[in-house]
Amino acid sequence: SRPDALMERVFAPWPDMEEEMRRRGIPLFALESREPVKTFDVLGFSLQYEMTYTNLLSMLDLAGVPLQSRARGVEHPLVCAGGPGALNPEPLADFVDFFLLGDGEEAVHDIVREVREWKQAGRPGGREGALLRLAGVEGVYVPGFYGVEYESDGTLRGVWPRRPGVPARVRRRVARLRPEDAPRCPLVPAVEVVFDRAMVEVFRGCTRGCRFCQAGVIYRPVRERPAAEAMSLARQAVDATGYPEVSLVSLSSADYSAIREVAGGLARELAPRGVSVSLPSLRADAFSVGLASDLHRVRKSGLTFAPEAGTERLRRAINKSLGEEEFLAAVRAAQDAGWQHLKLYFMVGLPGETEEDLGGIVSLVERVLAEARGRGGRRLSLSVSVAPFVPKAHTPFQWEPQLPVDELGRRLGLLRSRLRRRNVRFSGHDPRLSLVEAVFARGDRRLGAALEAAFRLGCRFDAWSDRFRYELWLEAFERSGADPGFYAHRRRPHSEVLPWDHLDAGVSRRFLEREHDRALRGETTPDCRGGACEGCGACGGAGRAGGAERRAPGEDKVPQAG
Amino acid sequence: MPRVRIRFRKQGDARFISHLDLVRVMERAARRAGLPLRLSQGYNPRPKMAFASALALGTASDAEYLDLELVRPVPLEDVLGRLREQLPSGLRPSAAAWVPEQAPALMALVNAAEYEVEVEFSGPCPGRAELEQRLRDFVTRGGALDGELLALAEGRARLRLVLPASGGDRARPRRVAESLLSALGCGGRTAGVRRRELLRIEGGRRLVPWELVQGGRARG
Repeated sequence: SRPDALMERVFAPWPDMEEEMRRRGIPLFALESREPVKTFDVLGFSLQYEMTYTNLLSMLDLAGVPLQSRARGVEHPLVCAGGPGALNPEPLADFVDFFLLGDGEEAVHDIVREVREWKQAGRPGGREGALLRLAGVEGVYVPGFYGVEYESDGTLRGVWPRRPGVPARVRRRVARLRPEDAPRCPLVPAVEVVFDRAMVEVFRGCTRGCRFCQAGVIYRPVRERPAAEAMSLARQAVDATGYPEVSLVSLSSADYSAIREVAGGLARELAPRGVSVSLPSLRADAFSVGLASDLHRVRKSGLTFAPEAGTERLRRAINKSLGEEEFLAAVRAAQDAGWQHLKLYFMVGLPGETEEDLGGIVSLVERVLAEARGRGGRRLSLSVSVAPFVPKAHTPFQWEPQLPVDELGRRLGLLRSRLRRRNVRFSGHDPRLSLVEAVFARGDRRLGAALEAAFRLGCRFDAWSDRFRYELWLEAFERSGADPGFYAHRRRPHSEVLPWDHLDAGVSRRFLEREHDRALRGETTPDCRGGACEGCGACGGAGRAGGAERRAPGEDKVPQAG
Repeated sequence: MPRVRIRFRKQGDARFISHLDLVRVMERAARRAGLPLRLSQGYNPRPKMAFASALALGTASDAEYLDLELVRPVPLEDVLGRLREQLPSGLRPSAAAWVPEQAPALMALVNAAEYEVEVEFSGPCPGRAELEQRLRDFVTRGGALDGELLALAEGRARLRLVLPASGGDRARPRRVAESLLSALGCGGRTAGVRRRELLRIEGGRRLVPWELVQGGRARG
């Protein structure tokens, strides 16, 4: 925290509240002070998921801030956005003044400093003056300073600076994981929310290299907290919040080098206080009996595994190999430790998927149930969740097409009917929603018009199945002249210029191309933490994307900027 | 095991915390306060807490009660002070007292509640004397355990109503006010409800949870 800047929160109001506010002329206001959002200097959004973008527009509109960046004056807040979505920001380029790519802990202070100095100097240069200063902050991308050109076939020719003084390519910010940046006094809501528990980020980044996964690319290099630091932060979080559960979060917590020490140590220490330790989605191949029994101590949160694909062949192609025997051993261990319910995540429509792979999902689930039955004791119940694959920017699969909606629907229907049995709860994600997600996930600046059209037609909270209006989205695409198939269903050659090529996620394009080729050949790539460097570029090519950031106590290594 | 009974107000924004959420808020506040809470047994240990009677969402209250079990005694002023520091504004602990071991649970104890209800008439409404008579009849017929007209001015009436703690619509102040309005033959709406006290009505006597507690008491 800092004494010279004030930060408050605001959430998108639910449609009934939005209607009430519009009717009464109540502008969007900050939760803490109830001051109108438009009186703040900076308004920042975290882009966690493409299907929240209509809410972003809705919030700007409710706040009384002009939607179009170029229509704003000095009296309006500077609108910025960060989070994973900022790595493909182009669909929001018309509406967001500046993006922050990468870690925010250090950058937020740079941004505050620039805005403060601009204000104190009397706002020289107006908004453009502020944005020019901000463009000098590492990790900041000001889309208004870049022009876009297209080829005659509609593909991108390029995104280039249209003025001097801004970088041709903006590199993502990489911060150290420092204990002083972890929230000391996390806010505890008075009403029920999702993720209702204390959390400690035990490490950031991942080098497993699952080829569909954007987070695994954009959060490299791996930076681990020392065990003592993680435990201390967990204790502080529990003391400061009063939550009865603390979760050790990361992209793959079972891969944390100190996981047994930290999870086990905390579980033992906190059990007398009735506080439990939980781990988010675990990799089943790293799951050990020891880990399971350590967490057994206090209470059972659900256990989730993500096999993703039904056959080892396809799992190797997506680089998330998992021996079936190892997986079943993990299930047995979980059952022995007392878990009675498991959640399994799968995808349909992965590149190269065949009917055999779909059958593999069914037989894997059946084997799990058979395994559990054979051991007697309490019955195991399963939740199986299947979602359509959405190719993401900055991944080896960024050139792959998504399957058409009807075909995705057929595959989901097939799985649903073959998994219809007692003990299995099946949920399939709407492929129509996945199509819209796929469009924006790899979209370009022209989609701004479609997004605004969707908002004006009334699209909100698209991620909620009872709010998603597919027909309105189709109308929005139609009106704005955008063809969803162009963005979602087209296989792109490696030679095509992509709408995020001017943004550097820290990983080389050649690395992604190589990984893509390996996927098509069914070859796996090992985790560089255990083996050779794959030259992804995340740690400056020195081969330490995984190894360098494991700090010994007392050391303080800083990742080298590439 | 020492059991402490805490009396608290629920008002302002805290009116919109549901009963279930209130349980969570209290649990977390008690944990943050570092009170030596007694935990339940089994796989899901929770602090042992008991409430008296769920308050409807949106209703403010001057007197809610919570019994907390501790593993060892803590000075009552500390209990109050530490909880006060941790609770959101709108939930203000006002008093604490020790409860003897054999005392009945809060929920078993409380069988009635007193409310203050503001009613806004939408058309012509009866004069004071008639209102009071109709209210007495309403009570006699069993529409409420007790009732009193506190104020009447400019088409608004403020009533004191004592209702049973449970029993469907008979326990719900808004519903009771609606049925009173129709008994009066008047149109109108409930403009505000506030719970004033929780009671045990037994053999003509009326007791508040405090009076059922012996020993020291702390006020805040």
